[in-house]
Amino acid sequence: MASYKVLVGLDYGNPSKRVEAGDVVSDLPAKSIGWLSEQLIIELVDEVAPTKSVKKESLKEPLAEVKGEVA
Amino acid sequence: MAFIHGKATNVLHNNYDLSSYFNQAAVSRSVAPAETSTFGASAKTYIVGLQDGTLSLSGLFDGAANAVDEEITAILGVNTGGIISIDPAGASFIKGSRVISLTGKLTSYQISAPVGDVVSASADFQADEGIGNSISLRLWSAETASTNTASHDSAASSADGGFGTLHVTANTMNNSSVFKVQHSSDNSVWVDLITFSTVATVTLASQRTTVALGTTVNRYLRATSADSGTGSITYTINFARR
Repeated sequence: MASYKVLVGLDYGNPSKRVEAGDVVSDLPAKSIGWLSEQLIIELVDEVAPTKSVKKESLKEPLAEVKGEVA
Repeated sequence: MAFIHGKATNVLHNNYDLSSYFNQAAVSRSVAPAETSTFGASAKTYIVGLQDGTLSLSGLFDGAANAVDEEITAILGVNTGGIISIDPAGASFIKGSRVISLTGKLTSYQISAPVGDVVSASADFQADEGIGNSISLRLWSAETASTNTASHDSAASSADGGFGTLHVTANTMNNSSVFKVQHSSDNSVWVDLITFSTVATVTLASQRTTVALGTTVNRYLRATSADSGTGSITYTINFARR
């Protein structure tokens, strides 16, 4: 989920959550991101890339090499 | 549409309710037109110029402490003038009602004492920065704990700022209070639009805060309070879009 720096204090959520200018949040309602960004009330600070799946096969060979060295 | 009687009109002047001293309030608003007629025209043409406004209040004289004479003469010759809000519906500035708000510079104050009648008082004000088409965001009443008012839906946003007005007319809170006007585009996330100066313990206050021209004011508005003490505070907040 993307993180945003809040530039103007705001309230959101239920129960209401208060954040002040300078805070970084990642749980703003998705439908509000557009107008908050457009009016320079928030700015994007970190957009996390989609998680890559790790293939099991790639771990097999290095493990075998380590075993060999120890023996 | 419902017509309203003027008998219950509320008049707040700075930190005080002066409703019980006045029996007439007259607001006049105007716009200065500038002529744009040129050769060949068959009729004069104009463009609108600057808005202006005046307020006249008249009623009965009372020389007691915090009564009409003391409060009006307190701003005579004072450049900051008085912060004035009027609810012509007399509904104690119920949320969503259209009210009149202005910073009024006192231009004249008359007291008349006829031999055969009650002593009267009247005052004329010149609005500074015009008269606001204000919407009350908070009923003029007491609260004992922090609140967010229900939102007011203005149906559309506006793009030229405005001004907010706060009147605190009674205060027994044993700690400070902070009042805000917030706005929202979706009635979900609320952004600070105006944060009034902190109101100190047991202090009365009146404030007008301007939102700069060119500032977007979103469709939904609400008032919030943060009371950090115990006690009671009586106030109202209104906001005028430009």
